[in-house]
Amino acid sequence: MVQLEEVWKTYRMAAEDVHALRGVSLSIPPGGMTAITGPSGSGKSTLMHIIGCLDQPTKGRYVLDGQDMSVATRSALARARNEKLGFIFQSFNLLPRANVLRNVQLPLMYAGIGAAERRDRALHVLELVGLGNRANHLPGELSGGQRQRVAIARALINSPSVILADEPTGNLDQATGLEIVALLENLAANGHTIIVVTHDPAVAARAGRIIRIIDGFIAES
Amino acid sequence: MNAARLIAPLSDCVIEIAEHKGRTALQMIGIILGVASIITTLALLRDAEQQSVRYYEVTGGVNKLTIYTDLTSRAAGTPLKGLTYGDILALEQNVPHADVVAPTVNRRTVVRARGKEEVLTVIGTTASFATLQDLEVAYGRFLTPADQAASVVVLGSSYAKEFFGLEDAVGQKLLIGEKWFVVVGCLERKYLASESGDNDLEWMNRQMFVPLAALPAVRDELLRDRQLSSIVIRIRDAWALPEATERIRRVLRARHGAEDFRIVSRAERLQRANRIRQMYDITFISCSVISLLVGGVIIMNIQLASLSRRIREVGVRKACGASDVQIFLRFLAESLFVAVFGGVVGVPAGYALTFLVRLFTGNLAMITPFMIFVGIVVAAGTGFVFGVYPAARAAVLNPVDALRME
Repeated sequence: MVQLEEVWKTYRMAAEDVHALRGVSLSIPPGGMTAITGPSGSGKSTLMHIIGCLDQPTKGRYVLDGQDMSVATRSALARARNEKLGFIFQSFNLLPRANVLRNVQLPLMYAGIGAAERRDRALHVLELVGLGNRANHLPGELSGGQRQRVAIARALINSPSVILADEPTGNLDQATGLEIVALLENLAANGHTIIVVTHDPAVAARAGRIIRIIDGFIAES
Repeated sequence: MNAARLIAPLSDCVIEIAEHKGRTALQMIGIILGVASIITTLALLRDAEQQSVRYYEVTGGVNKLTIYTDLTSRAAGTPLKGLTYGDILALEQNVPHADVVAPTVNRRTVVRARGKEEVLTVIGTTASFATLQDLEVAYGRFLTPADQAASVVVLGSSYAKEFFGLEDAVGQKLLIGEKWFVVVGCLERKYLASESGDNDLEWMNRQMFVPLAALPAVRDELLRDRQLSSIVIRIRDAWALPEATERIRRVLRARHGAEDFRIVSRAERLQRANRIRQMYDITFISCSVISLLVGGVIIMNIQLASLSRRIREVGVRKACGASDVQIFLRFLAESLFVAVFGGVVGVPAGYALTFLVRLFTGNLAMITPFMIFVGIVVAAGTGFVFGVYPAARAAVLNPVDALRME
């Protein structure tokens, strides 16, 4: 359950306050796929960072699964990212020198889970995304679509309450992008909460709910 | 935060180190050289210390006091009475700590034998002097109490060889001053290799001894008033040295009416030498530590440089839930592993360096397990200290900023 109440995010740039978010309030219940869209500079990435506990609001409250993240410590935010959130990025953000298995295991490693269990669970989620036979490959040896599947496996591995995808199809050709969206849809149908940030209307159209952001405000929801 | 959360991510950094072999090797160079030089320095310093201990051991120990006539006291106006054989008798009676006492009279005079002629120092003394210098007889005998004023001489090994060659010198005759002396004994050769490979004890092989009473008198024909060059006393127990010194001073002052003598303690001389050596120790160890610090700075710089290329990686790890502490420990562990590994590689390098020093100087420096332990611990400490700053820099990165980095 994601709840934002009157969330502001203000940056100070050259002695001038720039408001990336101006009092955003929204609530996303568990399950299903939600799209956040808007033109570039609208504040949708800032919103995603706050929902993903990568950043904190300047003003307002953000509650994730009953925990107020707007006042949480850095280590509490890290813990939330580890246990409650999974990330999928436009540029995949895999560690280039680590093989697929090690990349997928990362969240479990920071959760302090032993090597044997990490391996079993990583192989399991790799099966889910259809990459069971690529465990020992390096990211550089995979296609773009496969790399994004590795990222999805990594986002899934610690069974988070929310999976955040930031332009997940941005670096992929259309056919591959659709495959990835289909995979996300499938996860949403299986009870995962997926939030996709995108400016691609074709991707947004697949979501059950669309939140439009313009100039730091929610334009429609 | 439980221990597993802290330990599990560390396994990753061993892989990281193994994957960047070039970078790791570069980081290790300074540490390897630093540890090698620390181990070698410790070995050389220990050898120097042992050398000095050995020197004192083979020349009669440190419990030895030598009393000299103090020539400077003459300036004070008192007539110089000087040390006499009578002083010896008084000391033997009044200083219970004294174990062995012997007088010496040094006389430079012409010595002739077999057509060879040299001006040498002849030492007049008594039988106990052999104990005081730890002298061993190779042929014949040393002086005995029965010699009294007999014209007999005992030669150090170098003199025996110089005057009589390989032939047994015992029974041969030697002209000392105007008087013929019969050689009754030759001493065992004394040898102790110095740092430069010379014999540190050659001066002992260049001594010759005659009975005190056999030397022509200086002032008085009475033996007990005879002027001495020095009195050598061995004290039974080292702990009694200060007390014995004080006692000797009182006995002699009472007999002479003034302090016209000087007491030189070998223990004090050794302590003084040790203090000087400590200064050298500190200097040399500082040099090695500085080279290790340079190694630490290299580690830090390379960690910082590699961090600037890994900021995005840090962002990814933080997005996956790595806490500041986990990132900090991971980067710190990298520096620590590199330093310890460098330290381990530095040990054989230290052996090689010590071997070279031995090869070129004839030094006997030995590496002990303790030195290896010190080297590796100091290396680990260096890795730790210089790993803290880069690790802290990585830990405090904001995930959003780090992820934005290209």
